Amino acid sequence: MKEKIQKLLESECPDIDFTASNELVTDGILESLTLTIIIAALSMEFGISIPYEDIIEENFNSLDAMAAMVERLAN
Amino acid sequence: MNLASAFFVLFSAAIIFLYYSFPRRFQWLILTLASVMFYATYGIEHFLFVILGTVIAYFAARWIQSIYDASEGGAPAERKTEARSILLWMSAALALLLIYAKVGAFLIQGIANLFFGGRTANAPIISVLGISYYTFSLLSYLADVYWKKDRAETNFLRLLLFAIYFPKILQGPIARHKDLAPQLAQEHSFHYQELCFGLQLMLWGYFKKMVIADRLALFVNTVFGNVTGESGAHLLIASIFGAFQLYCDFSGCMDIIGGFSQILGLRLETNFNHPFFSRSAAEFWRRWHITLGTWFKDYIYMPLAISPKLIGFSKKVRERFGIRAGRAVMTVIPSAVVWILTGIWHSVGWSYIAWGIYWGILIISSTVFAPELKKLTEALHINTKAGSWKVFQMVRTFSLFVISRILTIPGDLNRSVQVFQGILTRFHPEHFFDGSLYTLGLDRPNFILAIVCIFILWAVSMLQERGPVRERIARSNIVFRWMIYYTAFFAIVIFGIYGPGYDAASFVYMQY
Amino acid sequence: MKRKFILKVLIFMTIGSIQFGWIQKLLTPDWNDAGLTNIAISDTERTIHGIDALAVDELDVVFFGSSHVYCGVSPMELYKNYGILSYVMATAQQPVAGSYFLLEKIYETHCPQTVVLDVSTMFSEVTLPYWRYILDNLEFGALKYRMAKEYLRAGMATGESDGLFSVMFPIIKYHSRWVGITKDNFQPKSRNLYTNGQHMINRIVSSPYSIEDVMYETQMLSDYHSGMLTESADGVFSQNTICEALYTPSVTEENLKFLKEIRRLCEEHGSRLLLIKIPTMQVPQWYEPAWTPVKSSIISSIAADNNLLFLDMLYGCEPLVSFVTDTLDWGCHLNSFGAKKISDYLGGYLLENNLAESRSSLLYSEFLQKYEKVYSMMELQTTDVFGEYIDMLRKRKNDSTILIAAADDYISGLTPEDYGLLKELGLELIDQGGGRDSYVGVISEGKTIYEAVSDYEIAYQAEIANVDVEIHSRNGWMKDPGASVTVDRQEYAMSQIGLNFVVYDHETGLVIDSVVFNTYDMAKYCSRDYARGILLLRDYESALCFDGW
Repeated sequence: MKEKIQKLLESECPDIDFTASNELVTDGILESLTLTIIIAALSMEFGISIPYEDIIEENFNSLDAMAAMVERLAN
Repeated sequence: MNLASAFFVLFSAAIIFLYYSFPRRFQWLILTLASVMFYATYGIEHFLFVILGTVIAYFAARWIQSIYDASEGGAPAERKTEARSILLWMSAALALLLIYAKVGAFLIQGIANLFFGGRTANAPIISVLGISYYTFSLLSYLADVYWKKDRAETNFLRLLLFAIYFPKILQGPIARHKDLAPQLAQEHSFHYQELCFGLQLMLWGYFKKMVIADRLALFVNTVFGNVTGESGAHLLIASIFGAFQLYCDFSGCMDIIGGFSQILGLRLETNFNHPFFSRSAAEFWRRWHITLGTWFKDYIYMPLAISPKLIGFSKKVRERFGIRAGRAVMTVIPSAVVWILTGIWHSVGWSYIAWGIYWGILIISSTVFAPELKKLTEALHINTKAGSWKVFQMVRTFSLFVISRILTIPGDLNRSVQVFQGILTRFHPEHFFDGSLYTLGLDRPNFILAIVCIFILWAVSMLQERGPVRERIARSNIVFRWMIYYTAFFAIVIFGIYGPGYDAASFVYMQY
Repeated sequence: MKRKFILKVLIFMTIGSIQFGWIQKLLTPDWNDAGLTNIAISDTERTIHGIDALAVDELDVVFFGSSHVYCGVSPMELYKNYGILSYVMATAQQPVAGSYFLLEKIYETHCPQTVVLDVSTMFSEVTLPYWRYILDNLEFGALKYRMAKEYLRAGMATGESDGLFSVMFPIIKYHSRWVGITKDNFQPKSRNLYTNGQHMINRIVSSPYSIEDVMYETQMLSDYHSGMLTESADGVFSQNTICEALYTPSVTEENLKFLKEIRRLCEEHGSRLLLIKIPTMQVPQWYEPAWTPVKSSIISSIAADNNLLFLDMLYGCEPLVSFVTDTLDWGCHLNSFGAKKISDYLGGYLLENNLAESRSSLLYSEFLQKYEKVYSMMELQTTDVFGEYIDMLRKRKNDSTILIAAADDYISGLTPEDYGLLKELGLELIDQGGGRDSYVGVISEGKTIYEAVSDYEIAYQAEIANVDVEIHSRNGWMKDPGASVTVDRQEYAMSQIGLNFVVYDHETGLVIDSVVFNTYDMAKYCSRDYARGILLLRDYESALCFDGW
């Protein structure tokens, strides 16, 4: 799951290194514009709809976090 | 009550005194009473609006909260829908309140004109004190409760205090309940350093407002009062002054209320972060009127951008027109909505709609055409790391802001066009040197003082970018500190634009 | 910790207040007359604070009123001839309320035996500036507060932002004056104390009216108003037909109230109150405060009602002054020559009515010395008859330097009598010249140190009494005839046809007069630069009063 996400995101945003830190949002590596792209990509790829209350730092700060969220929403 | 009045200074001093004299658990009540009194000086009808808004928000939030509390560990679908419709309907109610306050008079007058014929020259806009700010605060509160980022307030008066806390009522910042409410609820003890820092910030704010902004206003108003007659050179200087004037007026006010709140132990959100050091339009709006930008981002842009409908639509566009187009759609549509709404939030009129479209186009293009712009800089062999390039970017961004000021200072789009015409067709560069600049509302000493103060502003801003200035002052010895206080205070007393003989220059953002 | 905090705050506030007071004083106008011919402003700061130079027992009589008083009353003359110790606390268009509050201020530090009030402003509603002249010169305190309240009650405030606050803290109104701050503002103030409030003015502009004219015009107005005339007899007052006060002057209630307050205050302090009117020779149509018989009788009855003495120096006396030589502006105000005459009469009146005593004072004697010097300079500056002028020069030649240069031609108008006078002055060669000759004469410390006649240009240069002097005389044969007299590298000669005189005073090294008499012509008309003459007068005054000026 995590590798799938990583590959997807790296193809959408080739400029960003998603392994650079465990605080991608807090550190400012991912900002709102990029987040929308990521969310759109994840939604389209996994057929999920991410509710707004899940748009929080904790869910996007690392690939692991994103993977966990996607898994949760896919069920 | 004008912030730049002796009455306000005395009022604030009295509040601070009472705040720290009474037992701490009454502090929030004192603030509530003070805010009500503040409202009273404007008229009780203003107060009715905020009561109505707070009532709507209060009950809606509690209702939603009760739904969530009742269904711990996951709400069943229909309850969620119920919560959602409460959110939507009550938000609409609040928004309607705002719209009515802003255009109600317009509409009613327009309808009356239709029926009874005739035209009134300029329908007076009822400005309901602070309504643009507290409705947005309450809307954000409601949305945060819905999105479980905040809990509903159970004490109506505390919610009212959040809405009407008087320092933020005039020009913002747009407060978030989850940030401000806990502070208001806390008990605060007196700290000498907070007093000093707060006073320093207030002094700086008064300096910006009374010495710089109000002084520039004299020039700006004179030149813009004669748009078709003035030369392009004068219009250009007036527009540049207009940019500084708005910044000093608005951020000066923010510093005054921020400093005052700091003395009370409260931290309001920053609204400005030296916007003229921005190197792009996007960065500018992250540094100018920050709370407005973040409000639109958190409550309009993001929800729109990640809404399934938009994602679905962009998927279709992507399939049809390619990745870039699909991605563009995801930026363009929410941005356009945000910018049009931002324009309307300022004022209902073609000037601000044009303004919103202007900034919207700038920001959208810089995102959508980012690759092309990058290619352009490479083709021109521009070293993007060089200091001179950064300076160029700052000047460019500042110029974009000046243009946006030209759109909004006259208050009427026709006149804005005339300003552009003037600048382009009858520039008369000799007017920079023939002394005519000293005849447009500011005589020579005052004009020079204005320029000097702009330099002081720049210097202090540079210092602030490098590190907190007040702490630096605090570390220096007492003689130096006191000299700074005295100099700042007397600079305001001597050079401030106030008193018999000057027109009271009212705060610019107050009718929002 | 808390005590340290409070201490810090107190020290901070104290230092701040001191700075605030100093800056406020710097920026508040002192309303001293910088325009030297403008009698409207008056030397308010000097007048109000000048009284501080007098010790408690050095003040017996104090005068209140408007410009009529500070032009028309001379405390130095009162002292010189009668030994009366007096002070003129008059300011431009002083509102009666202003007189009251200033009297209160005086009673804080002095105890005058007699208070004299000129009744001109009893008939007017004085406007804002004249209140501010006084208010802005009062110290922050209870007195200023009470006068400020009265100022506001009288409707003087100009707008919303002009209220109690901006009167008590004038920096609010005047801070924008920072633009005009020059080093002059840092000069110590309060010069010219020697006059005790009188303005020394030597302008002479005669009044076109006589007392019969004034009474006639007043009667015309009254007849016109009562309908007896349908059109003006001489067209004079048809222009001002609307103002009611013109026809029926009346004392306002406010003013009457404050007159009674002044009377009460005097009684409380055991002083006597005297009402006076300094004479004017003007008609009401042109000059609102013109003194008419109607106004006089109104005041007489008020005085009688309130058991006060009233001395009307126009209608209640034989003519005291000449409105040909003793007025500075067509009969509206007296000049210092008129002030002398008024004071000569007034002094006698005060002593006769036991309103003052003859005393002596070292301070006043010092002041008097300066006054006499200035007065004699003024007399010199206003003498326009040749013979009299030469005579005056002779009298003062021991402490002045007299520089004479002829321009163009100076001979034809001189008579043997004139020659005699000139020779007595010390000019031996004055009759040696022919038509169109040049002439230079220099008299210093009573001796003629240089004299020359020539049919070419004469040039002379020397240092006399520590002053650099250069004189040129060019006669009518030369291309540009004229005269030049430079003293300390500044040009003073009138440079017109005739004899050009420049006189400077040894004590101060300042030029005190520059005049030319057209001795080419029998009439020997004289010509002076009056504006410059006043500058010379003020510089001289300052030099006398101010060491190291």
